[in-house]
Amino acid sequence: MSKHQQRAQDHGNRWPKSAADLLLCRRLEEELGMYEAIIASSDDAIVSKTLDGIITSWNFAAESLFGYTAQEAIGQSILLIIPAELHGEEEQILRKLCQGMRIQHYETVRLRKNGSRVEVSLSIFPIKDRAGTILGAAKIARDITIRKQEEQARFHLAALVESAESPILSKTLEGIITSWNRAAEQTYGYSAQEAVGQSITLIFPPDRLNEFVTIMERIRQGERVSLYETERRRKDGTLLPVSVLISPICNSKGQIIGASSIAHDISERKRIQAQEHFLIQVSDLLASSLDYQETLANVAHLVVPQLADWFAVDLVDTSGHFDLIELAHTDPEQVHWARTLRERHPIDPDAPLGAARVVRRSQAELYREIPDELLVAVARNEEELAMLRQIGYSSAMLVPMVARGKTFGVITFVATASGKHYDERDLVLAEEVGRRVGIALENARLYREVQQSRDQFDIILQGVADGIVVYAPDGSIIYANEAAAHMTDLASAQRMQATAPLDLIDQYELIDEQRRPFPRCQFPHQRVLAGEREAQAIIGYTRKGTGQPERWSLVKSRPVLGENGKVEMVISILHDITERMSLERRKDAFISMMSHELKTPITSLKGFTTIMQRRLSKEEDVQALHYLSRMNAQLDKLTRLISELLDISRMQSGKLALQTEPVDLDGLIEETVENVQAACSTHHLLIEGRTGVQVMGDRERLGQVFINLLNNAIKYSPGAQTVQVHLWQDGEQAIVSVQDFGMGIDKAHHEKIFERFYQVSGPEKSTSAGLGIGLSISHEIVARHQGRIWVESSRGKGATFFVALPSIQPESSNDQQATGETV
Amino acid sequence: MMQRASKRILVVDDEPDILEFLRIILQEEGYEVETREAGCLEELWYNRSLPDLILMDILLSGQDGRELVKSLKSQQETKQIPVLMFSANPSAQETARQAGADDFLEKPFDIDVLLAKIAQSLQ
Repeated sequence: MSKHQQRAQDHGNRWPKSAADLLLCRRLEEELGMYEAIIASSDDAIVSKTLDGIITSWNFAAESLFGYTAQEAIGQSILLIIPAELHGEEEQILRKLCQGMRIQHYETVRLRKNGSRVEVSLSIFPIKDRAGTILGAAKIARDITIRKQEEQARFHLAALVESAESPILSKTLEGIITSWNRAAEQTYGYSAQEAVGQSITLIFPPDRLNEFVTIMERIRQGERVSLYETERRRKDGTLLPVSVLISPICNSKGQIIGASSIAHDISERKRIQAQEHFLIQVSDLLASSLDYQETLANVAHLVVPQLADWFAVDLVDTSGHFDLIELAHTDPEQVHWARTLRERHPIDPDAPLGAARVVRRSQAELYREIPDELLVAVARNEEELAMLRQIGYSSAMLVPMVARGKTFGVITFVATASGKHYDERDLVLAEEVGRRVGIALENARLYREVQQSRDQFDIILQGVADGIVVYAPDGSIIYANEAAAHMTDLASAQRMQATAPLDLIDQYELIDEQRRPFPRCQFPHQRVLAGEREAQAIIGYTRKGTGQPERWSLVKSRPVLGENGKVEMVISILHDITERMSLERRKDAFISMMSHELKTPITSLKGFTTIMQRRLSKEEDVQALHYLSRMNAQLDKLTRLISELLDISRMQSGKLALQTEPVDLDGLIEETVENVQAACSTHHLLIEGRTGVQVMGDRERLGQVFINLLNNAIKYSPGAQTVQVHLWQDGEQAIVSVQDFGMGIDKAHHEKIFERFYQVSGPEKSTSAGLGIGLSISHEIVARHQGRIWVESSRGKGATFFVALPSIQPESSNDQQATGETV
Repeated sequence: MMQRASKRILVVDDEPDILEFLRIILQEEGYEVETREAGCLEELWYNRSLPDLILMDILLSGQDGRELVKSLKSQQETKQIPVLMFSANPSAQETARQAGADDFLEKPFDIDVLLAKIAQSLQ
């Protein structure tokens, strides 16, 4: 027997058994069978129970929902499937049933056989007999777990949308707003209540209404309108830059019924972009010129009104004094007024607030709000307070300008009429502007300094009488002063700089001191460019075709070396020596003439004394002969003095000519000593040692040196009987010393006695009379032989003069002997 | 002495005193001496024949002795005559030799040195 048949029997057993009853019974049974079939096939779990809560029926759906079979469940208490904490709930349900109430869609939780819980929606109906007595209850339970999950997901989604930081809204295809999240409320200023039901054009700026048409057209075609940047209008009318994403919304049938729209507030990004753009503009302006006044004015035009209504730049000097160098105001009329304010109330370097403190601390200051109390606090008197109030401060920023670790100024940004209130972000921007302006001002200052010192140098250089020409490493002229232009007979220094150096040179006839053509490669600046550390030359020049008399310049060149040691430029100084050259020529001619004129009578005198000597020798007049020899000696002395005068003049003009040949030094000394001894009866001249070498030199000139030294030795040791000559070799040098035993020379004079016309003054002055040029000539001659002359002496101890000359190497001396004249 | 007597010396200088003492001394030494203060080449000939030696100052009034020497030395019949030049300017030695002078003496000169040089040149 099936369960149903069993149940039918159970029912049937309780039913009365009259004929009418039987008929009714049959009808009822038929009905019952139909109901049972319906119940059995229902997807909902259907359970009946007595008022005591005993389960009386349990369909298939109940079996699968709760896990118990009908056999297991029927006869059990309904508490079987009710969680312990909900047992009270069952009592309430029963109570309501007893009162004849129905319970519909009651959502609760039931227990499965395996202990898991299942969310169900219950509908409970009372089961009544014909008399209406409630016999029990039928429960229809529906598993609502999935529905619940879906609901939860929807709830999460809604919560997500609601809590999203970006404005999210939905609208119909007609553009009617259907949802509006909290972020939308905050962003656009309309509440959900105000917005829902309105057209989306509510938040479109008037000039962007056509955008709406385009968007909706695309949405209707199922397109997604991806992130694009636009603007939306807030309730307060302000515009907001946004990036929006609009997607179509479809119903379950896939029909497009509206659109969702997510917007991102990009005002911060836009602001940063604008700041960057602003800073780039500032930097471009600052870099455009080194004229700081012009640049600052340009920057001021940028800052006002973009960033401030009032922009001021102050420099601070070392004493703390503020110097207002730039002031801009949105209202040009206010500029004058603001200047007046600053003149009448200069910034106090010790003020506790504001610019003074910014300088002291080298730290920016932000005054978001400027309440009246602050004005009262900073004003030093009533008048200043009144003026400050008149400004109508709304907000202010002060940033320092720093260079090389030192604050040298303050930039002030003030908001007045715009009603702007600066925040930290504005301060960051202002600080950056301050930093850039600071660098630019410092650069401009350095440039100005360089320029000034250059201008000063130029004034100095233009003022000097010497020509100054500066050459670049390629030989081109990068600077020339007016004197240089004048000396080279050019119209101006500019003209000189503008002409190519070779073309310039081609305009002149150039000669050297010997009047030979001056080779280009010998120009001092060319020699320096070729590596010499210093070069000079005497150059004579005439501008071709002018027929002007030649001019002479002493040109000295020196390099200016870079850090890497390379020649960066060459400075040539042109010293006009035309006068000197002509004077020198005249002097040379004069001395030449004079010595000739003096020597001619001496020649005659000497000739006639010789004749007389011969006559007197025949007459054997010894005394007269003695007088004649004295005359002769004096004539020789006179001759020597005249020669020295000629020599010194030649030395000065560098024309002391040497006839060089290998000279046997020992032989030369012997001969010289012999000759001097012949004319000297007071002293014995002694030679000691030998050099054994030859030196390269002018035999006569070297002889002149030793004659001079020997004569001096005799002259300055009147009380002594000997003069000692030593000869030796020291390495590659041959050394000759001449020692006297006379008065000696004080150390102070050791160097100076070799100078021209220098005379040792002292009590013995009378004994040292002379032109004071002998040693000077000796010094020159020795120097011209690459030798050295010096004295060792102390007062009262005699003096020793040394001459060191480079000796010829044996092999080269052989060559010289083979080819040149021998001694 | 007899040998020397046959030697004829021409002395050219623009200073009469110098010409005079040189004539005295050279004659005492046994030379035949002719003196000139200056002059053209033809006038330098000694009695229409050539001297054995010429003593000449470099600077002559209105004339450069070196030019005279050059022309002497450039002519066949005179170029073998030794020329001894003197000058008060020692640096003239170079140019004198370049012009063709056989020897040079700086003024004022030692008479003994002059006589030695003359004797050497006439050998």
